[in-house]
Amino acid sequence: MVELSIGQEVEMEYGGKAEVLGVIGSGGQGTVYTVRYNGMKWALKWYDIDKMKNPKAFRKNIQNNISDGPPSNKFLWPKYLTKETEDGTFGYLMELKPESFDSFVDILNTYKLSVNPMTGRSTKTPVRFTSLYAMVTAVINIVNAFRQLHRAGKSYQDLNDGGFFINMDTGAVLVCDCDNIAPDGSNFGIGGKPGYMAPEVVRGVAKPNVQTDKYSLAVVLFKLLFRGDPMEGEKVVRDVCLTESSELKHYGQNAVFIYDPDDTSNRPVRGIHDNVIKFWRIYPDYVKEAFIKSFTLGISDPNKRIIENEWQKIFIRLRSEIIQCSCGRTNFCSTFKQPDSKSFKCPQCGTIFETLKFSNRKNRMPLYLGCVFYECEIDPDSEDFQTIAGELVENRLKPGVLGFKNMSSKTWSVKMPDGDFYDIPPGKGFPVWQGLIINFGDVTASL
Amino acid sequence: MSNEMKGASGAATSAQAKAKAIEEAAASLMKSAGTGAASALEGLAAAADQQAAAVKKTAGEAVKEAKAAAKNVADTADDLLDFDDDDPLSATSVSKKSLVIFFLIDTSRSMVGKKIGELNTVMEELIPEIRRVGEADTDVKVAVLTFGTQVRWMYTEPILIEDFEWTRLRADGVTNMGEAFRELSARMSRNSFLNSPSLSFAPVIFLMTDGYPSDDYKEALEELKQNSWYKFGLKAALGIGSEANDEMLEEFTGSKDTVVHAYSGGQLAQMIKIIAVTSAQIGSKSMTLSDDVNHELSEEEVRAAKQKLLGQQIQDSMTNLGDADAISLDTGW
Repeated sequence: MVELSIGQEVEMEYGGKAEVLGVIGSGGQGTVYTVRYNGMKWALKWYDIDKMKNPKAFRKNIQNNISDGPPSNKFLWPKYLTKETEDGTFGYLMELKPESFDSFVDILNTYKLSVNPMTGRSTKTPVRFTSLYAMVTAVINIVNAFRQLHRAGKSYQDLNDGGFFINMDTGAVLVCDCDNIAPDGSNFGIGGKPGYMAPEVVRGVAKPNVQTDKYSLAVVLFKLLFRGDPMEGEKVVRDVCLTESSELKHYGQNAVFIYDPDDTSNRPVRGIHDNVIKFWRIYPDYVKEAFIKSFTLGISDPNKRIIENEWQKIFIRLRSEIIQCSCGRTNFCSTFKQPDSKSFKCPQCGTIFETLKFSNRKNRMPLYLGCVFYECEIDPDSEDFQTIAGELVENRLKPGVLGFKNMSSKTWSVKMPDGDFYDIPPGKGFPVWQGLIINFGDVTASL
Repeated sequence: MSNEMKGASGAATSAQAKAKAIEEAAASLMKSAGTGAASALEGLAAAADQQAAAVKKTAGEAVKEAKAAAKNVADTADDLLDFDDDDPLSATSVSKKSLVIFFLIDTSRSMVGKKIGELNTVMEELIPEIRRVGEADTDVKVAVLTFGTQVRWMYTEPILIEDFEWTRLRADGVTNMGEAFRELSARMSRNSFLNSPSLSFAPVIFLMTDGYPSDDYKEALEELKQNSWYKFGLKAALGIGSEANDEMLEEFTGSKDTVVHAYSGGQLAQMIKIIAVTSAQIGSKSMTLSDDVNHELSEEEVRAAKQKLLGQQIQDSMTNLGDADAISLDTGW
């Protein structure tokens, strides 16, 4: 492969030159450099074309992706191609990842390494979500990004832990390595990363497509939430040494989910898979069932895999079931006590949480100071899971009195303690009381 | 899989079963006895040890596993008392596979001077370069075995690459390579250097020498070849200067592709880096075996796929190596 050196200039397809400033990292397909082009800093992915089956077709595909543009602003999409060098080597420019985002690899490691360039010594900085809210939001964002991509008729092909950056404070997500993205049904040579690849790809009987993306997405989500490998349990560990043939067996021909209800042969092993053992107890059944379906029926039948829209609903629900107790305990309501069908109780301090019942779903939303609901939760036609529609706040003039604030752009009709319905326009609020009914239009909510 | 590995995993499984029994007993004890549980746990652990030893006389590691398991049980018991145990954010790192990279380095007298000096410098630079190859999947560890008159490990056990510091080597004496092979074989075992409780990748074994073994290496190499870790391992060898015998190195790696020869100083540095980085990259990851196929893969097809890939990549890199720095390694000492 032709490596670039610092200070070297690379000619761009439509004129101008990009100057190489430094190396970011190397991957299976090439190396990523920081470069300066038109006065701005960019990331340049420079390919090792010796490792490509058909570099011309690969380049053409990137060209198509550049002209199509990204499905949304969640993608670090290819922006400009370079000219080809004499031997056909090329690369493309994309925006640099903002400092505030951490790589999924570092998230799984729970720390990042920074190396002192003078001494070569490395130091570890912890990487963890600052709130449960941020973590579930990140999951929703990942799912949504792939929904947008698949709706654009494309597949990612190489979904793995190297493909995301996440802001650990907000849960914002950036999808990178978009160069293998191709129209569904096309493949330009990438197989994927073992552990994330669908079993049929591991076995060699299928090429990456939208259906195999769904499997890989389930793996990514599982790893983010449960911090372990869905297929690595007792059966795999017993092999001691992971050779090529044992990989083919455990991730392809005979993949068994660690929590397969009908096959206990591959359960996680204490001392090795402690994260999964711990977290599997915490998550509510509807989340676990979705993973069980993905990794049992979904192993052999791609049509049984959970579609992005379904994941999105599951995690929007999970986000609405987080309770932040004033004692400091923050967790899903499934881990709180339930004295009756309408309330939750903190197992640590005994605080009782009332719940709100929305007419469009079965589960109840626990109420605590600062809890919010979103546009998509009160409007059946909305897919907006990011715009807050209402928030539980304390009355500024009457401390201790809690009420909802209408943060949407529509007027709601609300039943007040005097028994009458009043219009609550945007920006206004109303108290929470035992007989509260909120009419959002198509959806109503009551205490 | 070899019998050795099967035995080890059998022992591990029986130890796990015991650990489970201990855990259940401990859980009920915790309820009734409160603080007394800790000492009860110790008793149970000791009992488990005795049992394990009795059942598995041959496998000292069964005891070790049971001890480790009992310790885990104790840790878990502690966790149960902790309110934050159900915090969905309190994750530890995902369970990693481990990879040990063995460097076998000739420190006989003929290496004295520029060769050993250059090798030391390259190795110092190399360590930070391979630090990130494991990513989120693999803990990469390094073990360095040197052979001159004496065969010696740089550290008493493999060291995590993040914590590894190169100790500069000095050259002296004869080339006891056979002795080194014996020592390597003894340490490449589940009871010794490859004792990670979790999954391991087959090790990388990288031999560097500038001459011909002084001792009878053949018998030792035959012994080494019986070691399953060696069989599945990624092997590469670098001959330094014109005295190194490529045929002998080929015998060691099992293929021509994974043997290279450095004749000049600049080449030595480049080749060490290429081989070490490439083998660490391939060794620390699972391979996409199905990239070039359109049919159901068989076990036979994927066997030794990594070793083949290593050979290919080393050869590709060698053709791209410049010959700019052509001062012969054998001149000017």
